[in-house]
This record gives sequence, structure tokens and C-alpha cells, in this order.
Amino acid sequence: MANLSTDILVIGGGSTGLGVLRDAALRGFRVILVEKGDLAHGTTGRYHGLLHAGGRYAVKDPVSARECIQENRILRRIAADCIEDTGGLFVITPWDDPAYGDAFLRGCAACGVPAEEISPADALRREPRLNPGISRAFVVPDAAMDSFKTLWANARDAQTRGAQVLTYHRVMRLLTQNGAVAGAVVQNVRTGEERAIGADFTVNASGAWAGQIAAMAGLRVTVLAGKGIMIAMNHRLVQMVVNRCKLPSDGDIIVPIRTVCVIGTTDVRVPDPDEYDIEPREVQLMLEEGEKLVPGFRQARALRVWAGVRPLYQEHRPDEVVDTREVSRTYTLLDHPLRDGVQNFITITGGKFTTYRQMAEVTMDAVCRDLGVERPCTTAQVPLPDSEAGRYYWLGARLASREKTLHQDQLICECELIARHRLEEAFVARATTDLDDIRRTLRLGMGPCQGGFCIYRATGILHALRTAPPSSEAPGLREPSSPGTPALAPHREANSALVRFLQERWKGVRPLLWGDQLRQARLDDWIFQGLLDAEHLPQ
Amino acid sequence: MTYDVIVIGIGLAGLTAGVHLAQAGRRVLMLAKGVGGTHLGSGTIDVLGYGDELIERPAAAFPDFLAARPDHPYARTGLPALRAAAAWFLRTLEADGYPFAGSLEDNLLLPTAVGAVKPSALVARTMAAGDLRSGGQVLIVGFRNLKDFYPALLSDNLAHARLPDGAGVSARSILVDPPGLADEADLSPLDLARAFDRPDFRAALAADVRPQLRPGERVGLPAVIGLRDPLAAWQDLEGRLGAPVFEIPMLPPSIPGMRIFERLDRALRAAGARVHIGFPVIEAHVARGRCTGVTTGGAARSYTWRAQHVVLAAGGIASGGIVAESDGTVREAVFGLPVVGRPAPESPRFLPGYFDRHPFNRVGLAVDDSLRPLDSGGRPVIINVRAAGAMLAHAEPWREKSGDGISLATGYRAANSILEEPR
Repeated sequence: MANLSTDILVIGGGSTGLGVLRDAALRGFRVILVEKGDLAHGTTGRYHGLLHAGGRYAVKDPVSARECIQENRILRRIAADCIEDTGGLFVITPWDDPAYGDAFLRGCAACGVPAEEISPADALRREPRLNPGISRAFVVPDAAMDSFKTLWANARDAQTRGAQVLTYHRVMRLLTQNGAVAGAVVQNVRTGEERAIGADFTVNASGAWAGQIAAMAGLRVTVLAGKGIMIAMNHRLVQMVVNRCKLPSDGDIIVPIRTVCVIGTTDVRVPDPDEYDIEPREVQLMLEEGEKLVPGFRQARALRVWAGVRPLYQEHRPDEVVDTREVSRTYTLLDHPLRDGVQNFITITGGKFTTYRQMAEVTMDAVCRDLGVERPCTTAQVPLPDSEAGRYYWLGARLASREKTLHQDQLICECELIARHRLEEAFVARATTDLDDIRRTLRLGMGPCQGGFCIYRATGILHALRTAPPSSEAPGLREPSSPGTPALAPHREANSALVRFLQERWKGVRPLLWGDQLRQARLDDWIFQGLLDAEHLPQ
Repeated sequence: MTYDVIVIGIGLAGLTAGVHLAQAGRRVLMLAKGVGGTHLGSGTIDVLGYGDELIERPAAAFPDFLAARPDHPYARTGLPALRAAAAWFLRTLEADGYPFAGSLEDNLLLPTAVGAVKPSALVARTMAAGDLRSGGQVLIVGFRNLKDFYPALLSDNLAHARLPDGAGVSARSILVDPPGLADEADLSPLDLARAFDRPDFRAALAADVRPQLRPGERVGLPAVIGLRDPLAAWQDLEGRLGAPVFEIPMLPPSIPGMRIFERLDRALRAAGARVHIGFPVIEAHVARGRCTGVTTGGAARSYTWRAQHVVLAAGGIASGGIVAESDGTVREAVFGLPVVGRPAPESPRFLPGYFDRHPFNRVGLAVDDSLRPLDSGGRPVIINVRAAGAMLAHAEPWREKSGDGISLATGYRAANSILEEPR
């Protein structure tokens, strides 16, 4: 396939990379983003959904705290549709140091984080499930922010401004020319096909994988991978983000997001960002800590557990750091022309979802400086698509939109209220036959039944799209064909999509199989093995 | 009043035990939290479809299957009890106008809704023409607005199915509008089944499908051909199409399962049993190793019921008869009976692959040959309580395709064991 050329190549399809993509597109650059998996496939799609107000870092990491509150205000303005304005609470439970409350208030004041103390009785009125033994409570402007939606909005906006996004494209090597990086050779991981992308400037925004990319330019960049596990519970046990008021630790945040709430998280250094397990004791720890904030937490139904890896930049030798929580949560920009004498190459890593826009801004400021051009950043002013009206997302939004088509369209996923036409559009728009890509786009199969019903339907619809005769009205779904790689027959593609999804879901529920979620898994076994016999499909 | 037997649970195991006891003249009380597994399954009687490989002849496969699994529920009942239960089941359903085909000697191979080929021993006559053992030509007919049936995927998979004798299936599919219901965006299988009860619906559908039919084709439809009188609806449709017609089970709610439930429920009432659904058992009364009765909760108030015997057929983990807690404990929900088959504390309960043989999947109750639950010393825990169905340990029903057969055999055996005792 033809080689490409562009002004700026962005490596990494997480929040940082997408932020850079949009920032660059708004500044009028030609820009291409490559990602080895799907967008949000890495850390961004595996976070709890918290838009920080900065309170969490106000005592220990004031730089982070200031960045958070500043970005919190900007994102509320430009990305309202991706945010549910839940508000946040910090509470002192019987397990926490009561004196920390004053340190917390002082820290918040010093960092400009609005924090208002309310009485425990008031806090319990707002959040009746909270531990009645709390001694102090503080309200901060935390919110819930949907990382998938934010990424799609950034990608969509950049694409309308001419940017290109290549998912499932892995960087094989960086192109170099006279001591400068000049783009990359990328491989389509589905077809095996390689192509070169020539670029005036290359931005390494690959998060926990940034060290691997920098090494391709012969540079030593140490990024520690800090694994954190999160568990989604079947209900919104709380309606506000609830934080333990203490120094950041394990299992001390519960975030209500969409129809669930997510408890997080842990922080364990792992040697390889692609290889890690979820240990039963980590799961038990989340339940124990959850119980301290919300008594009865353990009896609630746990839907799915996953882990993400934080990128934590480390300027020193990797063996010097024992506890990854001691590494600052602020981000790091490595200007390789200055740092290493390698031109046209920048690494941006560390940081957190809340500050993704600011990370993109400083990155593109540095790129402009290195290129000797002056093009100001506008991402703090120009709203993302669907956020122009400045209206926050609300919990009933999907139901409200579903009700409009109640009598015209089938409901394919009852848990997440996904109508058939939306599913068909997503298959075609994303040109994918991977049901997990659709899960990230529409939340298909993310509800209580974990795909028990909708995945069979989605498989049938996927097959129908793949076999539909070409017509302008129904564009159908064709794999991007390429010479030498025959596409799978539609039935094999559908069967493999089904089986892959079942396996992917199993990975997320396996550590949580007890109580009602085990019953649900058994019902799904009943359906997929007992009734459909999916194990014996032709593959 | 004191009943002869309280049956807890109204899935296939509870229904089998209850009807058999009531027909033998016992005063039977059925107590159930809700309807059971009949509404979830395929409405076929799958007896034994897989050991290590596909099983074509279940009865003949029994000795080898049980030799490798000496604790399996079938080892407690034996093949004769299964034969007697199957004969009783065939008789009972035929008597109520919903005859079954097949036997324990050979498995039929029926298409599933996704187009896999599944072994079943006994199937409703309305499904029997779907047997693919000798290959043939099939036309799968689906409805445009029915989201739980995808004929193109189904036929595509059937056309690529590998059958035991190397037989091949030639399969194709069409989509049609359900006459008079085409405007329903999200057509419910129940509404469709009710429509099939109407002759004018069947006539209009046949008029649409018949011209598209090729000589020699059998016609596969989703399992919605009638709710009230499926046999008559199916016979009428075959006549109008001039071709064999067969039903293919869909996702829950299972219409063929509901037909079985309805008929066994009718048999219960005809034999004088009392049936209370919506009555979860919240407490069991046990004194000196005997159960004297149970207390039910529910919407209005709690009641205590007395009986000489109890058949516990509350279902396995899916139905809540067996409960696993987050701390790793596993308990039987009504009596707190000992649960066996748990993997050792440090060994994995579930393996990494979805289709792996997970150690935890075989947990349940250990029973003696009278199906009385046993303690760790092998002694019956409560002398007048018997257990049947998915509660029993050491089976993997959805994997073995054995759940319906286990429910029939153990429900029947539990009833007989009570009938063998003096009143």
C-alpha cells in the first residue's frame, strides 16, 4: 500500500495521543495518528472515569493538584457532553487520621481547589449508603468523565479537520535521517502489511509503552508501569464521586459512571505493560476497602474487573524506585532535540486522563517551537463535537434518545439501551468485525448480563452486514482487502468474533465469579454452551 | 394439613418428581420461587451429547462415560431409571398433544440458533425434521423484525458443518415479513408464537414462502410455531408448504420449554397436586434428622407447610439453589446441606479459557442411591429429604449436553424412592 507523508505523526491512540492529534489539527497541521490496538485500547479505556478536581493530590503533589483543577474547569467547558457533573466528596472514615482533614483543606486552598466542608449528616443525606461513622466530609468539583466518548469526540473532530487515524497499526521502526526522526514504518496488524509514514515531526504519546518507542530512536526513556485494578459494580452505589480523605492509597475512590460505579484502585509496579495478572487478593482488597466507604459493598454485585497500567516517568535508574505511588502524577515532556540531540522527536508521558488536554497543548507548543512556527493552541476554547451547547451528559440521556425510536427500531442490548441502527452504523463506520471494538464504541455487552443476549444478536447482525449485497443504501461491511491476504469467509469471521468476545468477557469476570455474577455467568453458559453450542461452531 | 411430599422447585426435575408422585396418588405440594429452567432451555431432552467427544449413541455410551465419572448423577440413578423416566415423559407429553420423537439409543443432530449442530436424544416432533444426521437440503426462514434469529448466519454455518459420517448439508436462508406484524419494530417471540396459533397467519406465511421453496428442501423456522396447539399449527404449516417443517430453539424465553412446563403443570393439577409459584422457601424445619416442614416467604405473608417427605429440586447456581459467596464459601440455600466438589483453597476455581473444564463447575450435593444428600462421612443428612436436578454434584450439564436427562432421571428416581417407602 502507498506510503504516506504528513507534518506530524502521533504514536499512541490513548487520551494523550488523541489530544495531540486534535490540537495539531486545530493548529492547521497535517497529522496522522497510529495505534497498535483500538483507540482507548490501553490505559485510557481502563481507568475508573474520574475527572479530578485536584483534592486527591492537594497535600502530597500540589503541582498535580493545580493542573487538575485548571483542566477540570476547561474540560467542563469544552467537553460537557463527556462529563456527568456528579460532584465529589472526601470523607474521613474511622480508619483515617482525623487530623488529615485540616491538612486537606489547607492543601486545597493553596492549590486553588474549591473544597467546602459539610456536616456528616449532610453528607449522609446526599449519599445515604455512606458509612455512618464518617467524622468529616468535604465537597469538591470532581465529576465522572467517559474516556471512550472523549476519545471518539477528539478523533471525530480531528478527522473533520483532515487528520487521519490508523488503528491496529503497530510501529515497527522509526525512520531516521541525519540524526533526526523522520517518521515511522508501521504494520497493519490485521493484514501484516507494512507502510512508511514520512513526517516532519514525530510525537511519542504511547504512555506506558513510551520507553519501547523511544528505544527505536536509540534513546533511553524509563517509564514505569504502575498497574491499577478496578471493579465495576452493578449499581450506582453512590451518586457522587466518593474519596477517602487521606493520602492516596488502594481502593479509596468510588466513581459513579453511566449505570455502574467503579472502585479503584491499586498501584503495583509491573515489569511489562502487556503482561500482568489480576490477583484474587487484589480483588479482596477492593471489596474490603469498599466496605469501609459503603457498608454492604461486598454483598453488591461485581460485574467486571480490569487493570490498566499508568505510565510513570522516572528520570533515575528503574531499580531505585520501590513504590510507584511516590512518583509524581504530573506529566513529563521530553524534548529530544534538547535532551538528546535527536531532532524532530518528542516524548510526552506520565500524567493522567484529567490533564490530557494540557499535555497535548504543551507538546504542540514544543513542536511549534522546534519547527520554528507560531501557531497558538485553541483547544481550551473550541468545544468538542456534541459539547457545543455546554450541556453535561446525564444518566437518562440514552433512555431519552431510545424512547424516541421505541416503535421504529429494535433494542439489541437491553442493558446499555443500544438500538439496531446504531449498532449497524458503528460496524460500518468503524469498518470492524471485532465485537470488542464495538464494545468500546457503544458499550455493547458492558451491562449486567455481560453480553448474554446482545452478543448473539450482534454476531448475527455482523454476519448479515458482511454478506449484504453492495448498495448505496446499505453500505455493508467489507474488510479492507489487501493483496495476498484473503478475507475470512463471513461465517468464520462471525464465529470467531463471537468466540473472541466470550473469551474477552471471561477474562473480566473470572476473578469475580461468586454471588449473582456467578449466577449470571451460569445463565450465559446455559445460553452459549447449552443452547447455542458455540463451542462446536465451524471455525 | 400435612402433605405427603413437598417439592421445592418447578424446573424439569421438580416437575418430573411432582407429577410422578401425584399420579401415584400422593398429596403433593409444589413450592417455587418462580418458574424454572424450562423457560431457559431449548425444550429438547438432551441426555448425553458429549463425553470427551461427540456421543452419537447415548445409551450405549453410558458404561464408558460413567466408568470415567463414578460420582456423576447418572451413576446414582443408572440407565434403567433414565429409560423409565424417558418413557414416562414421552407418554405424558404425547397424552397432552405435544408428542416427542427420538430415543435414548441415538442422538439426533439439530441445528442451534447460531448454526452449530447439537446432539439431543428426545425432541418435540415439531423439531425432528431438523435432524441433520443424513444431511439434505434445508431452507432457513427468518423474520425481518425478529432480533433473536439470524437465518443467514445459521444456514451459512450449517453449510459448513462437519457431520459424523461426512454427510453434508446444503443450506440457504430467506427473510420474510410476518403477515400482519411487519410494522412491529421489535417483534416479541411470544407474540409471534400466538400469531402462529391463527390459521390465517399460517396461510399468509405459507403463501409467501411456498413459491420460494425448492424441491427437496426442508423448512427451518424459529421455535415459535404456536403456543396453544403447536402440533396442529405445525401439521397445518407442513400441509400448506408441502414440505417437512422443523423448529429451531431460540434464546430465552424458550417457547418449546414453556410448552413442556404448561403440560406438566396441567398434569400436576389434574393429579391433584397444589402448585404455588412465587413462594420462596425461607426456612426449613428440621428436628432429629428429619424435616417436618418448610416456611415460605412471598408478597403477602409467610406460611409454614408440613410434609412427610421433601424433594429438593431448587436448581444449581444459575437458579440460586446453590450459592457461592465472595469469601469463597459455597452453600445449599434451603437446608444448608454440605456442598462437595469444591477445588482446594489454593487451587484455581476457574481456568483462563472460557471453554476450559473449570474445576468449580462440578460443585453440588453428594447423594446416595436414594438421592438423599450426604455428609462428609457418607451418611444421609436429613433422612426424608431427596435432591434432584442441577443441584447434584459432579456433572457439567451444559458441556455434556446432559442437563435435561439428569433432571428427568433424578426427579423420577427421587419420586420412586419415596414411593418405595411405606406410607
